[in-house]
Amino acid sequence: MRIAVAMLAGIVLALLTSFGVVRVITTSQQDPVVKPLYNYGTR
Amino acid sequence: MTRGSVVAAGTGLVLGLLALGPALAPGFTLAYDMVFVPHPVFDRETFGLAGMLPRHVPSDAVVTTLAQVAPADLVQKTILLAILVIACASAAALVPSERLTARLAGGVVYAWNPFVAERLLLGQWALLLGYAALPWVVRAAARGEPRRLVLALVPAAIGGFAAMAVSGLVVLVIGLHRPRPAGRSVGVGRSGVKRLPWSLGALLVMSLPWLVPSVARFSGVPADPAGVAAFAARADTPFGALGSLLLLGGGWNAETVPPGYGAAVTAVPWLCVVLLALVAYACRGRAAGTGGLGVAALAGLVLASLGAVMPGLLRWAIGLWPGFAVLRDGQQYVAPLAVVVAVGAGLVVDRVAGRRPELAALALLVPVALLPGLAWGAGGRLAAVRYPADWSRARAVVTAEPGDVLVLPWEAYRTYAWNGGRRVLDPLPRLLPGRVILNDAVRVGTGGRRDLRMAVEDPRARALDPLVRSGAPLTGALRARGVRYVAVDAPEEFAAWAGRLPGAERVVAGPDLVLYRIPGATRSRETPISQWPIAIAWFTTFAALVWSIRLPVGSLFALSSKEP
Repeated sequence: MRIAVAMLAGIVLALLTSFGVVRVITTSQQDPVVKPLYNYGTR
Repeated sequence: MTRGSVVAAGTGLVLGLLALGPALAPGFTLAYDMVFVPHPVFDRETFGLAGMLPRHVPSDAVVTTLAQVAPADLVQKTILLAILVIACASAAALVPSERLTARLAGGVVYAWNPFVAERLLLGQWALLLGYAALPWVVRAAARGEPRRLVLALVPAAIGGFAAMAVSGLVVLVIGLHRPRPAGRSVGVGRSGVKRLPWSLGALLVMSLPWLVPSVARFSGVPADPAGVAAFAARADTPFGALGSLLLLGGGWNAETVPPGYGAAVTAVPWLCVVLLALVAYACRGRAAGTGGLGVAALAGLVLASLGAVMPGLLRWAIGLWPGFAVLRDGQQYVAPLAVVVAVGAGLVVDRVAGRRPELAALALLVPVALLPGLAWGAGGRLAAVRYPADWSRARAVVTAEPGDVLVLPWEAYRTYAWNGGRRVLDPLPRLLPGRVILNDAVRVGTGGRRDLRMAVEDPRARALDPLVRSGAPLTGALRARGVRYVAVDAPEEFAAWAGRLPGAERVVAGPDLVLYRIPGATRSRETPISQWPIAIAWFTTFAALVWSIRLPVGSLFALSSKEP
């Protein structure tokens, strides 16, 4: 039971932390529009 | 299914919801190689009989089948979630521990790591399907049970070429491995010598849907060593390309590194986790009954590093036989190492849980804490969008009056504004019915130097390549070559291509796509590949699947032998 509660609490914490961190990172970045337009990607 | 496997699958589902976030909204998530379209239909391209090389076989056929009974966007979301669920459950089942936390730790590490993040952002869901089920394949191969192996290979078989290449490496190495008679390994069903032919047979049968069209078209495939430089592993951490591969990252595309990954503050702790897991696997991994997995992981690491360490050798090999191009994007071969790391992480947590259970539970969060950038669709890099109305109108026109379609601009990938500027392989060949001709030669940027450009693979596109690049008017020449429509799906180039299509009738003109009809165009004279070998291949694979399914699917989730 203790493990289950710890897991549940952990998942909620992970959700909140991840969401917060990613929001902070992404709001400080531009949209991922990269030129040139037709590349598969960039090394 | 046991309680443990249900909890592991549920944990995978939570991780999937967390990772996909906005990609689960209504609509389609389009990113690099991930292309799903509404109402897909079967045509020759679906089975690899025409168009691009059959890398999308049979994954497109499976998606098209599922889309007959459910909306295609729902099918996409279900598949993406299934990847995380299967990954977590299959890895958890492989951890040799009676403790649920230890099994979950292995599952979480396997489902949430740089490999999954980078391949997901690259849109390679088909490869990830095979990756997710790799722990099942490991166990089935180690046990030497052909029926179980066929069943375990189903996700990889759906994934196709790349997924089966990775699974094949594991099956081959484990098949060659000779279990120690006095060991506790569960690989006692057949000896290494006896089980190898069975394993290879299972691999072959499950590969037939993509293998047969590949062989049929192999003579026309250009050997293109340029791909070695484009797709070699690269450093995405401070530890160089090799160190990055060891940490399960190192993918070729710098654009698909999750936000925040690679900084020393997270890379160093992640390195510690990986090293600790490797040590634990080396000490106690035999209990997992996965004889040969360590060798497979090492072999995979060597293959993964070839493009970065010995590019000359790989270029020479591809020049000798184009089939070696399967090793170009080598990073995918670190997948077996991910299984080792996951099992090792589970063993570490098993040891910790014996003394501090609450600490072990918190350890489940470590992968998420060290790679938060994967969360919420990697910070919005994966998000669902809807196709523009112009695209549906173009589809209606081509469906009503079928004919071959040429797609312009003459490039494979796009960054549509309506897709949030995310790169994606042009979806028109999947959306429009019939033969759609796209330049499938991909281009890779090198950050300042000249772009790397691969060879055109589709024979029809190869034939049209000089014409399209010539700058001359296209209408008459395309009419003579049996092209009835031209679709231009980049608004910034509408004017340029309009000038090269004098006399073509504009049948759809919207803000996102223009479709031209070329008056007087006749049907193409493309030499078709025979359908019979493909039909026999599919029948054989399907028959093997039916034979294997006599084994309950739930048995794949069954937990491995427990430690004393």
